[in-house]
Amino acid sequence: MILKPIPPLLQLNDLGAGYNGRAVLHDVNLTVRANDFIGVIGPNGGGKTTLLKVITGLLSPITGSIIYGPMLANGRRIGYLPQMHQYDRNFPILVRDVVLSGGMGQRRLINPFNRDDRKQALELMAMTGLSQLQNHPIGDLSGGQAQRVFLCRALMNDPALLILDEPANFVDAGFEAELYEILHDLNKKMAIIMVTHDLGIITPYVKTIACVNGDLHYHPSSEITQDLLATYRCPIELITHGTVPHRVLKTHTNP
Amino acid sequence: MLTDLTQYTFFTNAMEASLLISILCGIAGTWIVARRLVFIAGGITHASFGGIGLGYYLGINPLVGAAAFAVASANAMLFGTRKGNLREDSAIGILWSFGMATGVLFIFLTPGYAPNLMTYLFGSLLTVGSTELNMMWILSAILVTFFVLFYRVILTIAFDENHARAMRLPVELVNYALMTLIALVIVLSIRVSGIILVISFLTIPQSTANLFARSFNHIMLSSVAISLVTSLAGLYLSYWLNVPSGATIIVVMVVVFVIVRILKWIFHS
Repeated sequence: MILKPIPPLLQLNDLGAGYNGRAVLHDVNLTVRANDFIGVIGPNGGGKTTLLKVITGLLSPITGSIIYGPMLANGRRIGYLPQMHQYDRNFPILVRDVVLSGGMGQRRLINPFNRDDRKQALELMAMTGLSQLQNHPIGDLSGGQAQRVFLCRALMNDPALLILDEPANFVDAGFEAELYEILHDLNKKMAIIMVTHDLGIITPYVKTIACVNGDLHYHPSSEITQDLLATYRCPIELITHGTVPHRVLKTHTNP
Repeated sequence: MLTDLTQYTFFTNAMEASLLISILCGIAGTWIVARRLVFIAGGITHASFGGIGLGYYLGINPLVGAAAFAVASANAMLFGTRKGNLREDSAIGILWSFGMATGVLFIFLTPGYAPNLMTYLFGSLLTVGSTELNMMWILSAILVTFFVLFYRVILTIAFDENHARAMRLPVELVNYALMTLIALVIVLSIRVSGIILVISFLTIPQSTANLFARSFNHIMLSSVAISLVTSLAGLYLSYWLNVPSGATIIVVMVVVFVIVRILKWIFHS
């Protein structure tokens, strides 16, 4: 029996990207495979969000190429949770309609949703504790609740790759822990790329790390130290927590 | 006495026009208000005056010229702000004044007196003819069909354009199609409510509806209903008081808005 190798979900080859012709990112090479959980770290302005914009198709690369594997259906099977963005709080739309809108990428344009889709939206809202709020307009919700709505919207797309940009921003501490458990479960079904500044908390969940600071350094393990970050020229601070209960990670032993 | 009025064709035409402008502006206005495009709509409205002037100058139906100017300026505004790095409010200012200026020049250059010019500035519900009504019926059918078929796409793009783009929805195509439809809605409404007053049909009923309806489709349906009731009420009132119908309708719309606002304030406290 011949085992065919599983093609990667996504491949970035010598990719450069930026705005108005000026590259923020250069020489990025990255392969994303099914069930990856990549934590993306790096300083502000280093190009983390730019990287996500290229992957989601919001920004075209200036140089190099991006290749979507068959699983991603030309980028349509990507779930995207943007950084806490300035949505219009006064826009007349109900929570359940925002969640449903996330499924539009996979469906026909006319009369796109059937009973199963509505059921899926209900299940997602139940999972994130939004059931009571489903018939409220989005403007009624707090920033943290809205973030849950946008997570559900990203998942409505049945993504093979879920992309999260600082998902824990504005989310209350209770849901933050829950969020990482949800992501841990979701990772069994889909690859996840998550931008974060709070590496301390996510380390148990991410499998690999990508440092983005103009270029991209891929670290095929989730164990990192300050020294390692220095060699990657990735000037971020590891966040540790004081009086609140926290997790101490073992120090990186040099090989 | 009210039943007597309906014996006159001009009055039944006016009622029919009220229904049609309510459908057209109720739907289009909900999208405009939700997307905060009210001043773009104002810009398109005034830009179309250039087309009215051109119509007089060329001796064709001024509404044809207005349609050309409105559609061109609507799409130019969308294109200019996206690709030309032009600030939106500046683009509106340029097209708004350019349209009015060309209108004035064309009418000045047209020999003789421009009949019915005031009709286009202030509207005239009572002189709407069957040709205009037929055009409004056709546009209503197109607009309703478009919104019913593509409701989810329109809503998804209007709420979060970037996310829609990430899902590979045809964002630009839908936006240009909607802007073109909006331009045509504005042109056919000009005949009824006038350049100066079109904006009221696109914003006041929607604002009233938004006081109690909270989802896009409810605001759309409520706006059509509010618009119809207030314009019919304004029409009768203007007949009794012997004052211009367009202005009366807008006063009624605002009074209804204030009443609903006060009722909401009473019932929520």
